[in-house]
Amino acid sequence: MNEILLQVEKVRKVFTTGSENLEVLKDINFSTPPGKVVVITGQSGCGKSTLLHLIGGLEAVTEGIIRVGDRLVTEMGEGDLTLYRRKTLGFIFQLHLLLREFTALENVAIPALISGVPKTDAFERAALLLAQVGLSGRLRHFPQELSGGERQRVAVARALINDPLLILADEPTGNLDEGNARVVQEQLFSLVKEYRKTLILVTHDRELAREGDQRFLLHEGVLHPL
Amino acid sequence: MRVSLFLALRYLSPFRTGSLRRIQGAILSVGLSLVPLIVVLQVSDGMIQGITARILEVGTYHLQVLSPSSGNSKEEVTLLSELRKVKTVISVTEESQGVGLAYSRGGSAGVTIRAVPPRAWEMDKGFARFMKMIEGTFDLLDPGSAVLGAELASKLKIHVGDTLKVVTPYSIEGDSILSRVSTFNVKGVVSSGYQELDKLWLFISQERSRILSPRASRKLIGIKVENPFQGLLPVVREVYRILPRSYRVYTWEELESSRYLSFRTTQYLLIFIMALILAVASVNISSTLILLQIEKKDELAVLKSMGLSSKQIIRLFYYFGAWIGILGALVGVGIGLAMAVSINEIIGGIEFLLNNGWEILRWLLRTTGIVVEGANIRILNPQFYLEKIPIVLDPFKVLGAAFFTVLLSVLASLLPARSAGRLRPLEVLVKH
Repeated sequence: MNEILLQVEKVRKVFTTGSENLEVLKDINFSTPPGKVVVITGQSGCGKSTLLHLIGGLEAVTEGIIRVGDRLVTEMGEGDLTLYRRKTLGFIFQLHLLLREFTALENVAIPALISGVPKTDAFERAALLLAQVGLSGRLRHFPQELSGGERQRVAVARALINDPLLILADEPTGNLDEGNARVVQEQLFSLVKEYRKTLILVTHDRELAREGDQRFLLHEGVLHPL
Repeated sequence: MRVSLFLALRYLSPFRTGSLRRIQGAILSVGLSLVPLIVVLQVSDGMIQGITARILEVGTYHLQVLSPSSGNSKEEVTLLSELRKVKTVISVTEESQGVGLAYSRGGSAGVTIRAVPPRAWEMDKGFARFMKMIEGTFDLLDPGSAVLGAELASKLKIHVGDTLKVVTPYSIEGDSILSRVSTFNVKGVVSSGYQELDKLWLFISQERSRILSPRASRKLIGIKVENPFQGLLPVVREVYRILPRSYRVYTWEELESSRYLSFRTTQYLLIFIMALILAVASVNISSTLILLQIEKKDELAVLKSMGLSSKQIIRLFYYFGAWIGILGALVGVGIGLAMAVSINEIIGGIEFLLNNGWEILRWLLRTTGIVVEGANIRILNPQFYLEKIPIVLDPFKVLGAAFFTVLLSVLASLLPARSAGRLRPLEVLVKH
């Protein structure tokens, strides 16, 4: 069976600043089946994050098609994009971006609550995921009471709580020291495999890049398979 | 639980250090702006009802029956007895009113002469309740006795036991008018608590009503019922049924309509101004929430990237606004009610401070050789107001004001809510 989860076809993105046009992505084409890890590397500013934002529906393409399952992300309106982000995606940012006034448990549970999961179920699932990333003793801690590595592990758990089809990770270990980066990386890959999630990971960490099932180099707006 | 409510409750929890501290200023501002509205709502009603009730009990009566000049006393005795039998009627008083000039060795003053039954004090409990005996007794059993209003007695410089002369007009055949001088022994000095009335009223016995010229006086029957503020019309209908056609009946609302309307208009104007102050203060909520939105931009962007919709973010800000309104209303109602129930003490305290300050200033000026004369400062001039403000607490008005505050707060959060709802997550996320 040759099932495709994500299909990116002839995607082009041009940013216009005043009278200047900057073509960041020229002709991006790739597709991936479910349960795979896709790693995109490239120099800083080459457009890796932009590609992730396009897949996440946070930004509109200039040209081309992005399809997730049988739905065209590139043709979705605001309401559909909200539902798409709620049900289909999990985001992990370079900076954890946890909510300061919420405990680790609440931070993980919030996407489930947004999706309409009852509070008790959401908190149960959040506690389970936090235990899986080794933070069962830190449920009631606020982000400022956690280390950088722990915060990023909370972010990983948060990305998984809604059982998304696709996880978009933008330099998830980019802000961590080597030791913490390895722990986060191992837990991320292990959970993705366990739950059979598709991970699109953007990084310039060469070691991390070697872990992908599909690996690409983004150079001058074009994706090159590695 | 809705996710917006969950987020709002967490953000505004007093056990968490963040957002509640940032909206404290707005809560306080709304609360303090509500205080004058609560005080006006509670105190003005008390003042209006107090002044009205006092005026009705001491002078206007609840209903007035105006007798035709041809009415004979035999017929009237029967009428009075019939009127006393009407349901809810508690007193029926015959009275004649006219004008005259009272004079003594101390001076002279124009007076309103009220010829009332000698036992008016015992017959009319409301009259006795609101009239305060300053000196002597309300004793008109001797037709030669009189009772004066306190201000009038003070102006004429007379006391119980003194003699008072009263000049009244009387007409003889044709259009000629002569004056008649009558002498009275002062048996008592009373105060209605309303100085405007106290400087005019001179009470004499009904038996001496003949000193009043029929052409310059009026004869009335004053009726009092159990509750003058409710259910007066059925009594009016019953009274009309008893009375012969030539009699007219007036309710206190008709007799005091201009005074009552003036009180109400002033009250509504005050409430409007106070509500306006509250509305201006609610602008502070907008600015606080705009600042909160700027501060929480990153978190809102993350929430949006997780699928929180613009509507849910707008709702979150409405909850913020409502929460500010609820806490502000609690603060305002608490302080407002405390101030309203102690308004007399507050006014007394301010007068005490002002008068003592004034005394100290006068003493200091005297030491430098400057002598300044001046009477005591009274914030509410008792000549026009009650000496003590009666407080009537109305829970519905308090609830109405609190609801209005919350509504204004939610309306004030409209702008920041819409602005937060329009936030594009990417604008924030690319910075990270």
